[in-house]
Amino acid sequence: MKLKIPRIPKIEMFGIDIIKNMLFFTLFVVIFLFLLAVIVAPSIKKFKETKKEYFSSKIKYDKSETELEKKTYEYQKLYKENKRIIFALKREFDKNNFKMFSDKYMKLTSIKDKNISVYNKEFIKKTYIITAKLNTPVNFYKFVDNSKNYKNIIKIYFPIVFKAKNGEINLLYKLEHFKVK
Amino acid sequence: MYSFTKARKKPLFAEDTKLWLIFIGAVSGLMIFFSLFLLTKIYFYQKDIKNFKSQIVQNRKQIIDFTQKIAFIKKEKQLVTEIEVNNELLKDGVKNLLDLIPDPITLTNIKIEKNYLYIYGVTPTKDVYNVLLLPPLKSIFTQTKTNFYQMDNGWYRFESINILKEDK
Repeated sequence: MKLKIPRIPKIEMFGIDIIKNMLFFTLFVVIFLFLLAVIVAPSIKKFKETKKEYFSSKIKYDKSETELEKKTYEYQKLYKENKRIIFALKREFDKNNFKMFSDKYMKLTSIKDKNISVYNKEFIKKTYIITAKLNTPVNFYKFVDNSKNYKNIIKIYFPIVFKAKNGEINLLYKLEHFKVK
Repeated sequence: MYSFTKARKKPLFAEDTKLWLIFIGAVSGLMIFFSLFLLTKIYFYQKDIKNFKSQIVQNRKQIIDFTQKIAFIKKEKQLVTEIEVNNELLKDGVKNLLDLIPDPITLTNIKIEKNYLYIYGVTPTKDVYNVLLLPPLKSIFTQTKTNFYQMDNGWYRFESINILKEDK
């Protein structure tokens, strides 16, 4: 038995096969719409979303960069301004060096360790009892005045005792040394 | 059978069919190429987004770190300022106190505490002490107590205890 395939009728106009070209046009439209719907449109949609997200992230990034720059500048400025304090608060107390510093104003006779305590959670306060001999209380004022230029952060505190003996003044005072924990 | 014309090769596709196939192929190719181009752009955008996000996290960490450092430096500065002010006040306090002592009175022992002052010295007469030293001491301290001990030369040794009670 012979199988009969129905043939598309051939309609020609100026030598052009109208039916065939119509079919190809339809095929083109179908393929075009299919690719548009399946590949191009989702790509454009995704691209738009990603682009939006990109600019949103970029704005956030730029903002964080500006904030970081501002903070860095603020920190560096503050660090520069307070460099002496920062380093002074890191240094250990050196009795010999303190003796050398005090020698300009008085003759140090003893430095006794009293106690160590935590100050304001972040600092360590070491207390010493200092005894010294000096000729005039003026030297004590000068010493206290100049203590702000000392390489450590020191606080002169009570009790302060002046005792006159053999033409000299025996001085006793409490010294507190502060250091970062 | 014999033919006078040579057999021509029949093309697989007609000319117009070829044109259509090329056109459809080109358009499809362009669309796929365009999509691939967009996907490449998306890939680079996403890569940048990922970098931005990780950079933002790092920046935030650094900002927090700097903020903490700044706060700590301010704390250090405040502590040092407090100490410097304390030293200055202490010096002025001691200086003012010693300046109070009038010439005829000689001190041999002074003990200064935060709210307490002990003075031991020599005065020619009780009146010199009571007129020249006692009033300023009374104006500073809430409680003043003085004991006198007469010496062989007629002068007096005195012991003054002064207490400052802070208001509650």
